[in-house]
Parts: sequence; structure tokens; C-alpha cells
Amino acid sequence: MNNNSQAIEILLVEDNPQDLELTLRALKKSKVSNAVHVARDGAEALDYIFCEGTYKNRPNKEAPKVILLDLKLPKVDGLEVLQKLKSDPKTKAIPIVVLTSSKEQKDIIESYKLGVNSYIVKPVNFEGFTSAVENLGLYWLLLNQPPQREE
Amino acid sequence: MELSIKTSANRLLIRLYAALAGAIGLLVLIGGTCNIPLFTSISPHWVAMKPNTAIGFILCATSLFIFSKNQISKSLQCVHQICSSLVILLGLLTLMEYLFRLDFKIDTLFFSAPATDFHTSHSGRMAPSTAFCFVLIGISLFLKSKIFPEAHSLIVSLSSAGMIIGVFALLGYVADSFLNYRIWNYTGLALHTALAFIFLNAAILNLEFLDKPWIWSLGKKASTGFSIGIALLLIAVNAAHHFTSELVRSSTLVTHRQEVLREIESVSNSLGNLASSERLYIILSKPSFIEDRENQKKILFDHLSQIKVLIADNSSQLQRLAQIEERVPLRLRWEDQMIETLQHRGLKEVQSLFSTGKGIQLSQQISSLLEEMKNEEYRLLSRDQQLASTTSATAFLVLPLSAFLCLTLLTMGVYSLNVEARHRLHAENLLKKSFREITDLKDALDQHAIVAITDSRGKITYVNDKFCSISQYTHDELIGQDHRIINSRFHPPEFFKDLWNTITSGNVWSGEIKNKAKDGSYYWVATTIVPFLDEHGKPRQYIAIRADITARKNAEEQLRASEAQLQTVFENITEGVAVSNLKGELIHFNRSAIQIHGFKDRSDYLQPIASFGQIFELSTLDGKVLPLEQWPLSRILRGEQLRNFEVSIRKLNTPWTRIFSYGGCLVFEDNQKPLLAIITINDITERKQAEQQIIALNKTLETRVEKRTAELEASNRELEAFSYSVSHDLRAPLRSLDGFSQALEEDFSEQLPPESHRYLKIIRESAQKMGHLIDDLLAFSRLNRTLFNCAPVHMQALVKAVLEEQLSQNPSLPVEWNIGEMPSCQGDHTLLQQAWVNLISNALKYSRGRNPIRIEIGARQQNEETVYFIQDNGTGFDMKYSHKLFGVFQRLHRAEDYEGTGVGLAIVQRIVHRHSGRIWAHSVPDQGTTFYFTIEGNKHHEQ
Repeated sequence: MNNNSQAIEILLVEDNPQDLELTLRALKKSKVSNAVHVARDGAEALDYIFCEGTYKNRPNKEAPKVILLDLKLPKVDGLEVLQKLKSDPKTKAIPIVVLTSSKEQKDIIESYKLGVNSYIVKPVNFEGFTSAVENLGLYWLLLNQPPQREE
Repeated sequence: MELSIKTSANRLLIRLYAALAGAIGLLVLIGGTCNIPLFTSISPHWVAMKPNTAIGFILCATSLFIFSKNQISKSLQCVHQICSSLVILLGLLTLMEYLFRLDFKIDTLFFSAPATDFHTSHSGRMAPSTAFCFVLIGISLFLKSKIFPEAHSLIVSLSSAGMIIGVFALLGYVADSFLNYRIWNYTGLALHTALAFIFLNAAILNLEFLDKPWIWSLGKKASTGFSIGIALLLIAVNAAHHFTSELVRSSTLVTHRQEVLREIESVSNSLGNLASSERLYIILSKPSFIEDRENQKKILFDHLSQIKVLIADNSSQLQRLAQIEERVPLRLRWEDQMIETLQHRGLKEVQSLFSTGKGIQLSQQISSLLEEMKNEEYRLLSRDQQLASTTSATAFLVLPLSAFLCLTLLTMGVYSLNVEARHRLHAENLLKKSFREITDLKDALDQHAIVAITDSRGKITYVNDKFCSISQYTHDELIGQDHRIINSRFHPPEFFKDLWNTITSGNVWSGEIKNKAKDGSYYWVATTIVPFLDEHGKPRQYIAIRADITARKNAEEQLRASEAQLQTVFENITEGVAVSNLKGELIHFNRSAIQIHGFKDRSDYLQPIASFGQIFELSTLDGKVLPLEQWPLSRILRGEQLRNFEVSIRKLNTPWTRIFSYGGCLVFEDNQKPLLAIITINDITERKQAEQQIIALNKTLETRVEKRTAELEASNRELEAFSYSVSHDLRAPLRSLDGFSQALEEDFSEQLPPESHRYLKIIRESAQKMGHLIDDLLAFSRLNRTLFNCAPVHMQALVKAVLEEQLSQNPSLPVEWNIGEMPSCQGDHTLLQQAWVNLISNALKYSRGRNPIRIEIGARQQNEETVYFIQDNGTGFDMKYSHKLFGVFQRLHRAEDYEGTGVGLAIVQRIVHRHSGRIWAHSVPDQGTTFYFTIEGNKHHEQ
């Protein structure tokens, strides 16, 4: 949404427009919404990160500070995205937080196996959801100390 | 009994003998004191009994009286010993007096004997034979005392010798010439002495044989030989005696003749002296010549009378002597006449008288008579001398001869005794050997067999130890009884009647008898009864030899039972069984075998296998015809063990076709030798058909199962996808509902009418409730899909942790809780934790408003299983709805009162069921509810 040259801090991968809106609303509340880029499916997310397809010429080629990833995505699903990013040495270091409605153990275990950094279930109640998103934005953008990027 | 009667009779006899001997002694003593010759010597020409002898008899009688008693006291024993010792002393001293010509003055110690004792060498002294007899009797009596209990034979021989001496003496009286005691120079044996000795010795012998039977054990030959020997010895002794006496008599006769001759000479000398003195007086007229005339005459007559005495046994000499005696006084008177004539008338007258010659004539007559007598005596003398010499010659011949004869007889006797003893010893050895053999046999028999002996009436007289041990009766309980004591009443009376008939007629009976022991148990014996006959051919005793065959009988019984059992099984078993011998000839078919083959008659099936080849055709199930040697029985006979050999069998020329399953094997004897062949036949036609059907059915079933499984798998996959998609997608709209309702309120709060705030709240609450429902539903559906990790669970600690966690969520609740003892169990920790979370949160929820809330958690043992429980004091429920308690989304309370989805208890039930347990509840409305559940894993854990 924001295509300026400002460095993207959060890549939000979410297909559901309502959820997307609510997430962004929550992020806005926590004052981090400026640096958010939204991808609507897994393929787009991958294109964005690897600067391929429509994102071939994106101005700022830096990786986001954190990726918020839904699991159930059209085209390429969340776990596949996670697998691709975590298996690529260039993207391996990007913290990925799974933000999903699923409480299935299967999903949780699989995500951790693939190297997810955090797994957050989206609660139904909006207060809960807001506080969860706020907390994770705070944590990953302000408190977490990522390794130095290689040029 | 008989023995004791005999004994008492014998004792009486002994006393009688002793009394007789004692009485004789006493009478003699009385006779001696009161001078009654009848008592001492009976007849004046017979020897008198001496006082010492009488005393000896009294002593002996006393001793015997003591011994005739049954029991002898110590003092009486002493008296007996003194008496017998005195008797020995008396005899010995007397014998010594005789032998050494001594005089101990014992003969006249008590009584002075009359001087004129007939035929007595020493006044008052007993005969040497009497003394000898006393020594014998004394020793016998002394030996009889208890000091020498083994002196039987010595006593018998001594007494027998004494007896023989007495008998000889008696015979001597009966036959005067036979061993005439009176001939001897020594004192003879008185008649009553001999009798007394006979009595005494008879008494001693009787006493000796009082308790020992009299057995003459010498052989016939030896006995006869000894009798003849003794008789010959007596004859020889008698002959020796006779010739000795003859010798003595003839020598006496010679002396006698010489005496007679001497007397005759003296007579003629006296006559000559008288005549010459008369003549000298006439011539010389000197009176001194006739002074001694009267004296000389007297001497002459003395001689004459002496001659008369000496020749008293010779009549011719006596005649002569008479003539001499007639003439001697005449001659003497003639001489006296001459002397008178001379004195009164003168010599002239003498001369005229002389010239008559009468005197000379008388003298001549006398002289010739004397000469005749002398000649006669000389003749007799020479005859007697000749007789004497002959007698002495004979005596000297006979005496050594009889000695030799005695010696010979003795030698022969010893020899024959030796022979007999050798035979006897040999026989004894043989006997001993055979006895030993018999004993060995008996011992061996006793080891092996049960032996009993009964008398002719069947009373038991002997049983061996085996008999006692098997019958459990003691020896004493059996002896004297008959065999009815062990009769078991098993056999009919005819059985025993037959037995008795057999053995009483002298035949051996053999058979098996069932007997009853003392404790009532039964035993079987193989019995052989052998009758032993007496000389009349009547059974004297029966010996029964038995062997214990109880074990065999029992085995037989068991065998019979098992045979019957087998036979019943054989006949009634549904499987067909046939038996064949080794030649392939069928010898037995059971009922099923007959039925299976459809046989009607025995001849249908009892035939060799080859014959079956013309009736049946056997083929394999795939239609290959089997040759005869491939038939089941043929294969079995070759030693094969057949099992389930399935064959199609067809009766030739009929539509009858069946499928049989054959089995079988050879039956072997103990020594591995085959005996029989057993063949089993099952008609499996129906089974085969059924099998075919089952196979067909199975095939369809398999495809059906495969299909259903695939369907199930698909549905499972769908279900999983469904729940996955529910998990992901169903919540998103709810979140939108909630989120945008909130956004609406936040962003447009002022523009909205007041009522809309409540509506928005309802929308948000509904969305959240829907979220809970979805969560619970997913959790519930997940329960069946999660893995079950069985491990020991520390129930008490688990419950405590859950409770504390629940309480910490609601710290304000006034809860009083108690957790009792709870045994650990085997189970899935996570699931059980979930169950307890639901149960405890339920309890807290439904007790809300109570003050205090009381929660009791624990376990109790009930019917060998552990029942866990949780009790609250909450609102409870009506038990009529209890069946709805565990249903999914089933609620017994309104949502306004108690929030919830109605899934919690369904989850608890599902968890308990996954542990193979049960769950139930008990509740009283407004008082509280108790949930109980069990866990199958608990049992495993306990084990």
C-alpha cells in the first residue's frame, strides 16, 4: 500500500481482506503501520522477498524486519512460503511469525519444524487480536535484535 | 494238659518207690534194734541187711521225696545235698574198707551186729555191691540237684547200672545157681536190699524221665547186638564163675581126700600103737605101756568120727567105715581082755588066748578094711586130682576166653556203634543239609509268598509275616482262627464249598480269592492250597501259599474299564474308524465307518483291501484316479502316518460319490513290532461344499471390505480436511464480526443511536461464543485422532496441580477443598489432565455462589477397581436428565446462569472411554453433584 522508498519493516501476508483490515488497524494502533507491505497470497510474498515478478524492480530491495504470515493462502500456502524462506540462506535470517486462525497441533508442529520464529493464533475477540498484534509488532520491531545484514 | 497229668502220676509213682525203699530201711532198723530176724534177713539162710544199708536207704528215700516235689526250697535243697553226700560217703568208706582191709568202725557205729550173721565176711558191714550201688545212687542224686542241670545222661546210666545190679541180685535169689552171691567170700546182697535198690533206681529213672520222654535211639542191629552181648557176657561170666567154683571145689576135694587119707593113716597108726603097747605090756609087763591107753583110744575114735564126717558123702566108704567101727571096739576089747588076763591069770592064759588068733584076725580085718578105704580114697583122690586138673585147665581156658569174648563183643559193639553213629551222623548231616535247604526254601518262600498252614478242620496253625502284614492281623489274632476272619463276602458260598471239596478229597486247589484285611480294605491273592495226608489218606493239614495280586486285579479292572471306555468311544465317535491287520484285511469297522460307507452287512466290509478295489474307486480331489497301492490303507501299511488325506470316493456303477478325509497309522507293540493298522475316515463332502461356498463368500467379502476401507479412509480424510478448514476459516468471519463491530463503536460511536451499542455488544458476544463453540468442537473431534501415550500417572499430584491452577484463575472464590489418597494409574497424562481440568472447572462453575464452595476429590476401592470421584456442593441437577449429561452440546442449565458450550463432560467421557473406563454421576438438586470414573489402566498398573 505504501510504495515509497521507506524501508519496509513488516511484510504482512494475508488473503482475507477483513482480517487484513483488522490487522492493519491493530498495527496502526501500535504506530507501526507505515512500514507495512501487504502480500495477498504466498506467491506474491515470495515475489516480494526475492524481488521477482511484479516486484522485480522494487526500489528498496532490503528484506523486511519481520514477516507476518497467514498459513491458509491462495496459490502458495503459508507453510510452503515458510519452507522456501527458511531453506534459502539469503532469507533464512528473516524472522517469520505465523499469524493464523488455526489451533491445529499439526500446523504448529510443522511450522516450528520449518523454523518459524513465533506462532500466534488469531483470537476471535478483537481486543485479544489487537493486543496480540500490538505485542508482536513491539517485540519484533523494537525489542528483537536481528543480525547484521550482509551486503 | 496230658503232660501234666502224666507228670503228676509219675510223681506219685516216684513217691511210692521212695516210700517202699525207706520203709524197708526202717523195718530193718526196727528188726535190728528189737532183734526180729524176720525183718533183718527174712529167712535165716539168707543174708541179713546191715544197719548201715538201712540208713543209706532212708537217706536216699528222703532225698527222693524232696525231689518229687514241684518246687524245692533252698533249705530242702541243702538237706538233699547233705543226704546224697552222706550216701556217697557211706558207700565209698565201705568200699575202701574192703579194698584196703581197713576198719573205720563205721559198720558198728550205730548198731552192734549179731555175731552169727549168715554169709557175712565182716560183722555188720554191708556187701561191697551194696556199697557200690550206694555210690552210684548217691552220685545220681547229687547230680540231680540244680547245680548240674546237664547231667541227665550220666544220671540215667548210673541209675541203670544200679538197677541192673539189683536185678542180678534178685535173679541170684530166684535161680540159686545164677551168680550165687553166697559163694563169694564176701558178704552177699540181701534180698530186700536188692529190692530197695530196684525201687530207688526206678524212682530216679522215673524222675529223670519226668519231663523228658524216654527215647530208645539205638538201631535195631545195635540193640540186638547189645542184648546178645550182654546175655553172652552173663553166660561167660557165669561160666567163668562156674569153672572157678569147680576149680575151688575140686581143689577142696583133693584136700579132703588127703585129709581122709591122713585120718585113715592116723587110725591105722593109732590101732598099731594100741596093739604094740598092749603087746609090749604083755611081754615086758611094764604098766607104763598101758598108762596112756584110754587117751589113745579116744584119739582113735576122734579120728574115726573125723573120717565119718569127711566121707559122709561116700556110702561105700561109710560101709567100710561101719565095718571098721564094728571091728575096732572088738579088737580093742580083745586087747583089753589080754591085758586083764595077764594081770589076773598070768602069761599062760595069755598065750592060750593069743593062740586062738582072734585078735590077729580082727587086726587083719581092720587093716584090710582100712587098706580098702585107703585104696578107695587114693582112687578118689587120683580121680579128683584129675578132675581138678581138668577143671583148672578148663577154667584157665574159659576165663581168658570169656575175657576175649567180652573184649570181642565190646569191640564189636563199639564198632557197630561207631558204624551206626557214622550212619547216624551221615543221616544227620543229610538231614541237616536238607533241613537247611528246607529252611532256605521256607525263607525264600516267606519272602515271596503269603503262607498259612491250617489243620484238618481249617484252623490256622501257622502264618508267616507276609500274611500278617497283608491281612493286618497279628500272629496271635490269626492262630486258632479259620480263614473266615479274612472272608470278604465277595465270593459266593459255592466257591468255598468247591474249594473245600477239592482239598478235603486230597487235591490241590488253585484260584484267586478276594480277602478282607482288618481295616476293611480288600486285597486279592492268587492261592494254591495243598493238602497233606496222614497214613489213612485223610488230610492232616493244608498249606496255603498265596501271592498278592491286588495291583494286578486293580490294573485288570482299570484295563477293563478303559477298554470299555475305549470301546464306547470307538463305537460312538462320529469319525469313522476301521482296523486292519498287517495283511490288509479289515477286521473291524465302527458304527460311523459303516454308516459313512453305506454298508449293510458285516461281509460288506470285513474283507481284504483288494476286494474294496472292485467296489470303490478312489481319486484325488482334482480327479486323478488312485491305484490300489496309493489307497490310504496301503500307504498306512507301508508305515506312513496319514493326516487329512482327502480323497474323492465313488461306488462303482452307482451315483454314490463322497469326499473322505483319511488318517491313520500303524499300531506298534512295545518292542516296536507293528501289530495293526488304524484308519480313520471322515465324510467331508458337506464340509468341502461349505468350504467352497466360504471361499466364494470370502472373496466378495474382501472386495467389500476393501471398498469400505477406502470409503472410510476417504471420509476420514474429508473429516480431517473439514475440521482443518473449520479451524482456519470458520473463525475468520467471527473475528470480522467482532472486530468490525468494535471498529464501528470506536469510529462512529457518536453517530450511532444509543440502542445500537447494545446490538453491537450482542453481535460481539455471539461471535465470541461461536468461537468458543468451534474451539470446543475441534478439541472434541481431535480427541479421537490424537495418539494415546500410556504411562504411569501420579493421579494425586496431577489433580493437585490442576486444582491449584484452576483456583489461581479465580483467586477470589471461597473454596474449601480436600484431596484424599489417590492411587496412581496407567494412562495418558495429557488426556487425564484435560479430564480433571474439565471436571474441576465444572465443579467450581456450578458451585458458584456457595460460601464456602466445598470440593472433595479422592478415590475408593470398589469391586476390586479404583473409583475416582469429585464432589461439589453446587447447584446439582435432576437425576432424570442424567442420560443427557455426557452428550455433546447437551446442557442441563441455562446459558444465562452458567456459561458453557456443553462439550466439557462429553470430552471427559471420551477421555475415560479411551482409558476403557466408566463414568457416571450422582446428584441432588441444590445439594451438589458427585462424578465417579474408573480407569482400566489402573488394573494394568496394579499388575
